[in-house]
Amino acid sequence: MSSNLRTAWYRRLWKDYGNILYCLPVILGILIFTLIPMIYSLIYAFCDYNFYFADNQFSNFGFQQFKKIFGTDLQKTMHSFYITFRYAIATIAIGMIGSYIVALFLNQKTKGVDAFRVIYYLPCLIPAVAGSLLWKNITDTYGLFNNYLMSLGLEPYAFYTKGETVFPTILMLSVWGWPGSMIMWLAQMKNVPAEMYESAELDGAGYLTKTFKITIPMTTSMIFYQLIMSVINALQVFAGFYPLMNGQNESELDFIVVRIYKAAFVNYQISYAAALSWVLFVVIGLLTIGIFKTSKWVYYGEEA
Amino acid sequence: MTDSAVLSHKKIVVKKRAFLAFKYFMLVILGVFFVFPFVYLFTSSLMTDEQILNTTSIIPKVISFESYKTLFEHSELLVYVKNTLIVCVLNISGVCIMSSLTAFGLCKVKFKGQDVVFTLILATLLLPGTVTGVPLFTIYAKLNMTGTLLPLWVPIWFGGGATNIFLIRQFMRGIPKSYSEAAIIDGATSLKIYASIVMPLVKPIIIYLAVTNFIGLWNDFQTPLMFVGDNPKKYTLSLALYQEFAREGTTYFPNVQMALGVIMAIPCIILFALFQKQLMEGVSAVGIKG
Repeated sequence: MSSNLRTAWYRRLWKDYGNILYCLPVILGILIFTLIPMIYSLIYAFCDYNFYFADNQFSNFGFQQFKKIFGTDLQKTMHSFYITFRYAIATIAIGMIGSYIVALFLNQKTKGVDAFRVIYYLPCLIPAVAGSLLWKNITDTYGLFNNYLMSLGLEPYAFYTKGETVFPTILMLSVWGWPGSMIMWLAQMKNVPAEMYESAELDGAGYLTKTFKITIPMTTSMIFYQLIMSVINALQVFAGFYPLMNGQNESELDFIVVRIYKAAFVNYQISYAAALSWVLFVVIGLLTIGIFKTSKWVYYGEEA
Repeated sequence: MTDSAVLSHKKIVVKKRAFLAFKYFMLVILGVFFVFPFVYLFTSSLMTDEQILNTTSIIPKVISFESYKTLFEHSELLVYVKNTLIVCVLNISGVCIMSSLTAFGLCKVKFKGQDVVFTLILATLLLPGTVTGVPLFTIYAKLNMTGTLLPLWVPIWFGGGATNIFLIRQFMRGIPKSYSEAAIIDGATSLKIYASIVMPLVKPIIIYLAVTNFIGLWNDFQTPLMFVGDNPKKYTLSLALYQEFAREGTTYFPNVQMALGVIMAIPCIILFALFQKQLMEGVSAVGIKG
């Protein structure tokens, strides 16, 4: 009797929870590679963690890292946040609008458009490090651009080599990253039912009306996805610019993640890096929540 | 038809043609603009050491394979290729197997607490990688895993990556229930349904994920830089490009860097060309209801 009860209990348990086995790896993964590191990082942030001494690694628990970030280093911190936000806002705004316009232009039934799409996308397949070295080479003092400028009798431009010209250079060159988002827009535009355009045409709608009343509203889910992802990614900018750093432009490329990387991996100030990454985390978290809260404009299609 | 009607018809045709010509003109102009860095990557890799340092043209004066020769003479190049391939193969098999199993567990079977698990996965999707990067480094260092390739592929086998899970789940939800119901009546286990019914149907999204993940991993720089750091035996191509060929103190010219860039870009271009259609289809799955 009792063994029957037990098997019934096991059976019920298996029915309710057996399938969790499919998700066990991901649950373990989140635990090992996300939650535990986050807890560690939080502990590091509130002490002086010494990477090199095996004994007594944790000492002086307190707020000193944050006091340093917002005290002695306040200027550096604010500067890093300033250049990171300036980079994020400018590239996201210009990039999303610009790439959307190019995608609208490519979203036509003109013959051969497909081939152009592939060509436009090619630069996005250049590895990030190779890409930054390529632009460094093009914009060097005796690089292609400056040699052209000089042959036209113009003054050479400093581009990445001087602090003041770094930001305009980044903005200018970010245009070549547009095709990456462009193919995302295009894929979504293809999903808009053709009948919508046809019936709008019968009502005498012109191109602009169709764009603003059909295409844009029907692609808001992609706009939303791209916005969230570009905010998260742009605020963590690193790979594309790290290889470009040198003595002259260092301060203008000192993005937050670059500072975190340098603190942790160059100077082994693990605690400082952890604290700074938590500051960044909170900022990104608040922004993401803010974007989600104001996402009433997103349309996800008919299906519930 | 009256004469004036024919005339206005002709006018419309001419207007249309002019508009079409303008369109193609714009397409070409934009094409030249966007493709420029790509062309220069290729042509500058064919320049001589002398020309690359003071070039006035995007076309090489003489076509020289000097840079490729220097590159292939580098004793460790094949090691870098091997390392990168190891990371890519182990990761992509992990992505295909684990993320599809997880997605299956999230939407094709039921268990208590399913929503909580899904919310957790979504939360990690939005979590900036920077927060976990520093502590992961100290954990890997304690386990003697820094300077090896392990940190670059082991994590993916725990679930297959949040983005990948999310995208496959979106795709799987579109498979009608009736497909698997018949199999359940026949007494098939859920694992059997996964392998013989669901997997074949989600192939397009799996291909999309395999290709995009390959391109991402092949070119990844930040993760190897953090966890492999300066162990030259374990450099991936991206890391080697920076540490060996470009970093201050190295003696290689930009033409060699660009040659490596070309070699790195080739597999990605081939994959992109082969799977262009699947890539476009896969992308559209991203935007469907979240």
